[in-house]
Amino acid sequence: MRPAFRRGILDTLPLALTCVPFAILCGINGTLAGFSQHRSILLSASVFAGGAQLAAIGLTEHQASFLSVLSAVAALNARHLLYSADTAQAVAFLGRTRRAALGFVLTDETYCLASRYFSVLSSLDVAGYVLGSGLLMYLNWVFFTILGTLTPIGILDSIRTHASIAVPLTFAAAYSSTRRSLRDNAAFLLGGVLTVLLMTLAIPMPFLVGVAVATLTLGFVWPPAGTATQKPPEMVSP
Amino acid sequence: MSALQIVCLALVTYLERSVFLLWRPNASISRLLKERLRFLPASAMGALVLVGLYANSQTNTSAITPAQCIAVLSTLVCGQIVRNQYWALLAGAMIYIGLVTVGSYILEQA
Repeated sequence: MRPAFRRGILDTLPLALTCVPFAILCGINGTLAGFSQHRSILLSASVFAGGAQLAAIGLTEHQASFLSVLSAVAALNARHLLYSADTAQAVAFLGRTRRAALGFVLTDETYCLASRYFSVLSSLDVAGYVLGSGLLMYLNWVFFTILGTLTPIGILDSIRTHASIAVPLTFAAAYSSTRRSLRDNAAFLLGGVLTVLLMTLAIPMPFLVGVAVATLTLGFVWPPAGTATQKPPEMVSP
Repeated sequence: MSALQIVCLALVTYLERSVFLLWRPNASISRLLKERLRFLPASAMGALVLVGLYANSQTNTSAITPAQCIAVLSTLVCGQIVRNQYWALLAGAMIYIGLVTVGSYILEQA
């Protein structure tokens, strides 16, 4: 397990570095949205999901209800259901407690790196790898979020206008970095257009309704071809 | 947002990450989830991108909105070409900074 743990840390180091700006941004956006320093840190330390955190902060800043924030976070993190379903096969021989611990650190990056070894490593080694990778990502994330919350307000005010681009840009990058079918692009557009339309019509919980309608409509209209599931982005091994 | 609400968000996130690690569903439920919810991540991301742009257009000056739209479109295209989210993000950010800088300069000259 120990070599796998070390390997997980080493493989994740470059990715952890590239996550630094996002972690700082989460801290900065939290402060700009009126979160206290403690709450920004609590958000990063407990949720530990960059995209979901940025969405939660953004929606809170725009006076969205907590139910909308919760549904946005749940919808955005729904991909983790697929990650956990896939990882469960690789760690099937571990005890429930260990599997429960792995769930907390199963982020996009850790899953993408670890999934390459699912078919070649034992359950214990997969667990070691996921823990090594996940713990590094976690410590890195929390540390740089704290750094973001310590950024002086004067600097924050000057970048407030331009920082608002960060959320749509981050999700556009995350979406487009994997191979996308025409159907995925249709879901992307339909989900977005429906949600904005519902927002302009002042329909309650526009995010939840828009995304659910788009997902279920396309899910039922287009049956899956064979066993096709959405593959994670390719990660370059250091 | 209160601390309790943050804990609720954390709980939902954790449950989504670990539900199948803790409880292994039978094959039919597993298949149903994969089939019917497979467009959920794409729809959610689409909603977040467009809602983000829409919300920014309501609060920012009119000059910034086109720059943000072009930057997001460029990021989508770059991401499909390089297949790396960090490079795509960097490209989008650079294009946005470039557009805003050039736009500000032109406005000053005018």
